[in-house]
Amino acid sequence: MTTTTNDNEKRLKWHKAYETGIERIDFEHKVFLELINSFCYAINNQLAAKDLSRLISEIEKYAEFHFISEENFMRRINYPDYNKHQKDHFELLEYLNLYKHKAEDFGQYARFLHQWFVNHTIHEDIKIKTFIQENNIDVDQYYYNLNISK
Amino acid sequence: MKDFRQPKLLIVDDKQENTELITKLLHPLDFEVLQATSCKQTLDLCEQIEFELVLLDVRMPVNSFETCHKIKSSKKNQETPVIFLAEKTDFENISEAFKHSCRDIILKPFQAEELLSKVTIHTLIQQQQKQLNQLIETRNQIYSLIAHDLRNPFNALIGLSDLILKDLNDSDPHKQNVKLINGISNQTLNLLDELLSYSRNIQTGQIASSQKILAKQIIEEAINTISCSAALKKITITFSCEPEVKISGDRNILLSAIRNLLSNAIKFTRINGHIAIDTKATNDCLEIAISDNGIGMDETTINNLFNLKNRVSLKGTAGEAGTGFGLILTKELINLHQGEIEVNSKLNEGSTFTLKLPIQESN
Repeated sequence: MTTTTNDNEKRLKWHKAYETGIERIDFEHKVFLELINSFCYAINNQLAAKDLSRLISEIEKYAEFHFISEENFMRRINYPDYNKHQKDHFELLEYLNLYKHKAEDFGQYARFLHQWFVNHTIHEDIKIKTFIQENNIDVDQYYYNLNISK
Repeated sequence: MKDFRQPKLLIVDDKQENTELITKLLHPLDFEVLQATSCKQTLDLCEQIEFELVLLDVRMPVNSFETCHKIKSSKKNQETPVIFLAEKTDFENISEAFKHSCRDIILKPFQAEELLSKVTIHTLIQQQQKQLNQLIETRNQIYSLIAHDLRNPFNALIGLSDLILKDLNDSDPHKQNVKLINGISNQTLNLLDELLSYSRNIQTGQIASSQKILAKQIIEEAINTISCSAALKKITITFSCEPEVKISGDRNILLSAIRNLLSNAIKFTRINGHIAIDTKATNDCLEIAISDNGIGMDETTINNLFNLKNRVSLKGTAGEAGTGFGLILTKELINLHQGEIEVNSKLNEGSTFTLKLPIQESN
């Protein structure tokens, strides 16, 4: 199966507004966005419902992984809003659960995922960026950058 | 017995869309599902309704663990299992939940099948638990009925036949039959008492009162109660025990266990035989060995001694009858005291029953 031009146009693109400036967080966010894209790609290629459900599990697992990763970083830099941010993550997982069961079709679930990702990133994750800038925190000291070459 | 009542389930979450989602997912189970979105509403419902299961979200405005304790304090839901719902990354609440005696946790995001299966299995366990409790209660009622109503006629039979026996001359042709009636009545009453005592101890599975007891004193007391029957068979008893060793437990229960073993020893020892009671204190336990030079047992008999199914009732050397419950009961009584009972025996040479009971520190 090849990606059509049409598919390429529909792909969710990384946006400057999503950038936190924290290399590893941005990297993990990019992976997440690409997971949504891979899910949409599977929908367009009419994968069986059972296989699409397995892709949802893949996304859920990555969300868990990323939240823990981000929380571990926030703990290391003594981020003052850690508790609130962690609670937001819990709520996000709760919504992930809710819409998985509520969504009428996989397309609706994919649209929810995108909105869910963008809202949290540009409203909440961006605050970590502000805290780091205001306190001159050298991120590299606290957060190991995943060294993955293309 | 089957409980045909539709199981009642309570879902508690401050977000109504969550309670509604679970209600919808549980629809195929045909349960009566109620929803609550606050602690107050939850407790109000728990005051009125007995639930088979409660699903409780771990993150609520009022601490969910306190809500859980309050549910368990309500009269109708003390035994109701509670399953917490938590997010997969909420490690702190997950480990905390298990400390608060929750039955299980469902982690979000979950699969519908997982939710259905956990709810079904825990509801089933709860229903079976309730049925079991009902059966036990019914059985207890039957036992107390037996204890009160069945014992009385036997006491009357024993008392009346005693009176008749006193009035009858040895030459009277009826004397032997009345003796038989008296003997059988005594024996059946004994059997009844042993059965009741056995079932009571099995039911409670615990000692009613525990106290420190001087081992020497309680063994001497047991010897006193059986000294008459020993004298009748001209059996000598020797006994040695360190004076200070203490064991702990229920005095009456321990006394009856030791007495049972002593009566057995007398029963299976011939006239002019000998019984030795030796005690040995090790680091943490006291061994009381009751040895006789009686008729002993073969291996098959030893293997079936404590077996309720193949219970053996042997006649004593002077034709003494038994119920076959004595030793089973004794073992249960000793087990209740975290003790053990060991048997060594050789046919025609004698038997040794050794009780091992934990020693109570003297201070």
